[in-house]
Amino acid sequence: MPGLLRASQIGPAFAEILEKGRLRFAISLDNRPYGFRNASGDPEGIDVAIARLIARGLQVEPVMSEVPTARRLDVLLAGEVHVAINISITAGRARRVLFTTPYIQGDVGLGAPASLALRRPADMAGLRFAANAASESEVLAQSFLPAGAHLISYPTPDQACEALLRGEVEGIVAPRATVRDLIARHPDAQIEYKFTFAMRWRSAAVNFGEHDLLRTLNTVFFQAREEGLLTAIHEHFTGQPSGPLPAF
Amino acid sequence: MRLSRRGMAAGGISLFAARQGLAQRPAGLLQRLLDAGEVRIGVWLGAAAPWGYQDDRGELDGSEIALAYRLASDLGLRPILVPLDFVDRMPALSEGRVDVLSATTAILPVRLRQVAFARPHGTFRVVVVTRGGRQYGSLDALAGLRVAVLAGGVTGESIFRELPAAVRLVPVLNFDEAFALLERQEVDGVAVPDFVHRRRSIARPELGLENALPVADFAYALAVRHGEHDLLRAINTCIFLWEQEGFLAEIHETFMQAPRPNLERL
Repeated sequence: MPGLLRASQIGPAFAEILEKGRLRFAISLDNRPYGFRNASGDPEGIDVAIARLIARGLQVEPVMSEVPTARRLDVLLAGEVHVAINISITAGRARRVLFTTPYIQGDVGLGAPASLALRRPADMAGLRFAANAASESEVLAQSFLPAGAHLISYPTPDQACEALLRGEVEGIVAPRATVRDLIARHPDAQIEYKFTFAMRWRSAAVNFGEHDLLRTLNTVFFQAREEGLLTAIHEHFTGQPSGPLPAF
Repeated sequence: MRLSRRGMAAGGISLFAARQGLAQRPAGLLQRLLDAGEVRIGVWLGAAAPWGYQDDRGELDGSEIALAYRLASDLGLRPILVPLDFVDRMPALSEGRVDVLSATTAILPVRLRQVAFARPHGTFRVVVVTRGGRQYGSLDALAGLRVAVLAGGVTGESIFRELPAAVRLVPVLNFDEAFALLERQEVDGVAVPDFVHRRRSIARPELGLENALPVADFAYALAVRHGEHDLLRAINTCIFLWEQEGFLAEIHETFMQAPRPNLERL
């Protein structure tokens, strides 16, 4: 019987989670509304809520390792955490990690002052735009920006937003939720969400070989979707209900 | 809740070293393919369009060929397409002669023990086609007649399940042979996928292949060997993205000349 229950049958991360009762997440707190510190200094946001949801589902203690957004996959690959939260699903990343089913839609688009008539990428020529360095937003901006448009990369999503508020750039290429959060917090800036570059889905990621952990996370997301928890989290932090979530 | 703020200072580096064991993972086929930089994809060219064929210049084309190239590209690998005989698809995968099948591999119960299927990306309907002038109102009306079926294919299995026992099945190696038998009146009907029937009707209108009795519907998918979970998940992630960005719909409309149906998640 012990042979049937050998820990080697499951991935090392999942075995450690079950053994120690703690699940380590890579999470960013410089990325409103996904992750930030509230007025009390406590972590909050969509990603934090998702991490708590997962930990509650597995009945383990969540341990959140704060890392810059650009380094979340690196610390996962290095084995410093068990799960990376809020990773945009791309084929390139599918060569490095295993993706869960998406838990939120994260379209990437353009935010800019209402005074600027920007209706399509071609209108962006001659202007400056901010994006978070080494992010999917930066990759999309590089591919969509026309000649003559200037892309300035900032270390964190929040710093990219601040650059727009300071007038260092004319717009920001970021997830729709990020732009909407900026609009809600700074109504005087009269920023608008102009248009979408590409539809993107965000999920959690685990390392190769962690298929039991992956399946468990997908089960948690399935239940949360059925119970309306995912859309409740989305609505709480963005003020808008989420659309239907695909699964795979 | 615990929260640790971690940079890459000395503490972070020591933690990294301590976690090396956690990060070490057995190298599955996906990792070996990434290391080698190439992937061998088994394809089937006997489908007589639209799934896999050689065009007039001898180039491989078809929906499954396009999918094979896209998969290799998304995985960052050089594609090596390996044409396979119809009955050799599953053996080629099981024996390691190919890494992935992109060969109109229908999801059948009998194959679940042989290979691991990815999310289905297409469907087809098997129909029994007869020649003009002979009208049959139902499958039962085929009792006592000869129907050509592809040996080892879904057409054969579905025929066994759906057709009256009195139908005489004539196994053939490919659809060309089936239609040749029908043309020579050595069989009364052929069991083929609807897309094959449609294209053959257009290419050979003089055969009068207007009669088609539906038999059963099948979904098909890419396939890998059992146990290759990383590779399977990477493929399913690609298929998910292809669905979302409309690539699968584009492929379907290009080669099947019809809108892609919604498929249930596997």
